[in-house]
Amino acid sequence: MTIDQKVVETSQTWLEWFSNLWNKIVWVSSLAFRSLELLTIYSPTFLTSPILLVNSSYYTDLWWRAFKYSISIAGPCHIKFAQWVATRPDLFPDYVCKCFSELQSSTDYELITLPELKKVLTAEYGENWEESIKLQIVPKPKSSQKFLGYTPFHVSGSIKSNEDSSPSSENVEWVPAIAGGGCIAQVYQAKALLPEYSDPSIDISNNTNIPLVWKDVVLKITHPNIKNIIVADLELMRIGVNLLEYLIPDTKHVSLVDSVEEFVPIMINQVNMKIEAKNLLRFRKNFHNRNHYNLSRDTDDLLGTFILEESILQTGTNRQDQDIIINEEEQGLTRKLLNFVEKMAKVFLDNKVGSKIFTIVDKEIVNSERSKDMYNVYFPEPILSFTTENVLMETYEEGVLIRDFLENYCTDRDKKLIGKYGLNAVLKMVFLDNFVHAGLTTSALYVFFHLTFMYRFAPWKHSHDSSPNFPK
Amino acid sequence: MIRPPTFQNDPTSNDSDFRLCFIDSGIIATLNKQDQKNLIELFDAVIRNDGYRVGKLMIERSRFPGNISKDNKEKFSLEMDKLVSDVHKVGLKCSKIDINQLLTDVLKLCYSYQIKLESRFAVIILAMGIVEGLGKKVDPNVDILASAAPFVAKAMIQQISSQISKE
Repeated sequence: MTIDQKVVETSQTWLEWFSNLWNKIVWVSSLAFRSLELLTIYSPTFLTSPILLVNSSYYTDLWWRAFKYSISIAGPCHIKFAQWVATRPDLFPDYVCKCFSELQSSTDYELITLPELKKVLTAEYGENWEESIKLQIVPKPKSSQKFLGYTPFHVSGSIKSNEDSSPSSENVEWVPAIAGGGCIAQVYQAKALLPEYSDPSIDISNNTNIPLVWKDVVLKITHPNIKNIIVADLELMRIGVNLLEYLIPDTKHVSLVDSVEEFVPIMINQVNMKIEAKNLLRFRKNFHNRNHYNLSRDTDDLLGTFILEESILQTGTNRQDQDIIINEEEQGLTRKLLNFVEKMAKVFLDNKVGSKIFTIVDKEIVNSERSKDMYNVYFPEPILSFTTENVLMETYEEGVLIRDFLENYCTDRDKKLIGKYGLNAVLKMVFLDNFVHAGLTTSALYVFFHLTFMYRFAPWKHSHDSSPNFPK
Repeated sequence: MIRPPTFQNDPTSNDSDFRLCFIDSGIIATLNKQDQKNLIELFDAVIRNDGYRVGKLMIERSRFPGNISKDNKEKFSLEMDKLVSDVHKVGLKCSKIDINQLLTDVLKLCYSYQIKLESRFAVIILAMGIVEGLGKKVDPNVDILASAAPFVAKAMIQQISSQISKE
């Protein structure tokens, strides 16, 4: 080894050391800054907390309301944590759960400007993204108008694609078309250049003969800086809870530390759009939705490579994820063995319910090929080639929120069908797949409205108000 | 028959005029093998109207079963037995029983006896709460226990068969 090499190496280690130190300084100072911010938000409620000792329901009620308000402005982590607390009446007293269950994430969306959004996409996809993605834009709505959920398409008459955005005679400002959003991410409408049709027998990477066409998609983009805020908040939460338990040992029976430890992976997973894409693919596989854009002979291949990539990227512990290993044991089982097992199981369940069940099970197994009769449930398809940690591209699904549907368009037959599909789908997730859409539970106990099911219109029904009007 | 234009390629969209679409799959709940087994056993016990066993299973699978006194275990199981048999008297229909209330009662019972459920377990019990919300709004006469029965049975078959195929 020459001296030159040595010098280079030592200087590199020094450089590394300095950059590590610098990262630590940045990390600690951002923690400090964030804790100051939180202190300001929470101090009014903490300082007035002795009011709880006064035995008056009026004042305690007032205090809890103030506390709830503090949480709602403190950030997504705090809101989600409180919502999660609300769903656990086995861990927390009833009045706390009741109080927090009314907490909802804000539905006021900040309107991001077009150049800002373009900047984000350039950072994610590189300079040339506009060759394969077109953003949909709408005139800037008046401040009184709010976008709620996936239903802004009543204004669809004016949606334009951004190539038509030549300054029009009217003085309207154009903003990206929002298709929904929450405290973690915002969903934008777009079109992307994707293969026109799919043929599972052809591997898309080898075959360039399939023409590309513009298809409707949505881009789910995490709010800028949200990850830093969340990581800092989780760390502070950890510190705070441990401190609390150390100072007031009585709080141990509420097991706050455990709760936070349980909560951390849930939160971290939610910020990573790759995880959501992976979940979607898994759901699609479970419910026999066929993939069009992620063509591979085997979905497992696809999931496999994606997860592998994931595990390299991910450093933190990921308890929720450890169990997601695709178990295909039962698929290899022949029908013959299944019959035998059924008979065995019948002996186990030697009562009326048992025999009744098994006639149904038999039918169900026969029908499982045609699962659409049982579930008829659909998940949007993520497009992995355009999915990064911060951006998820998925197919655009036309429909209305189930809440609106039930209120406005539903017939009795529809209601029965929705009930059947929804119930069967959830039961399948819980018992057969062991892979449950848990986003549904955040407001589970009280509001059905917050479920994010969507109803899919048939084109011959209500077509006048459901289809967004994209330029041809 | 006309098909929705966006899904021309999708064979599942043939013969029904709509489908449910789940969005926001950011959070999923999944149980490890043991928990899944517990859950299925638990529901099996519920379906067979064996509330006492339900109570016992819940204590066994809680986080610190050692901390609960024998007396309390007995009391808890008996109360569960009462809850479950009450349900079986009318069937688990939304029109007859407030299932959210039932679930909350169960979780409250856990709280009052200091039985801490494994959290993912609780998440899935709460998923049943969704089912109820669905039922109430949509079709109050669906008997949830009866709908769940084939799934629980099939899940048991899956478990037994995976055991056999291992051996």
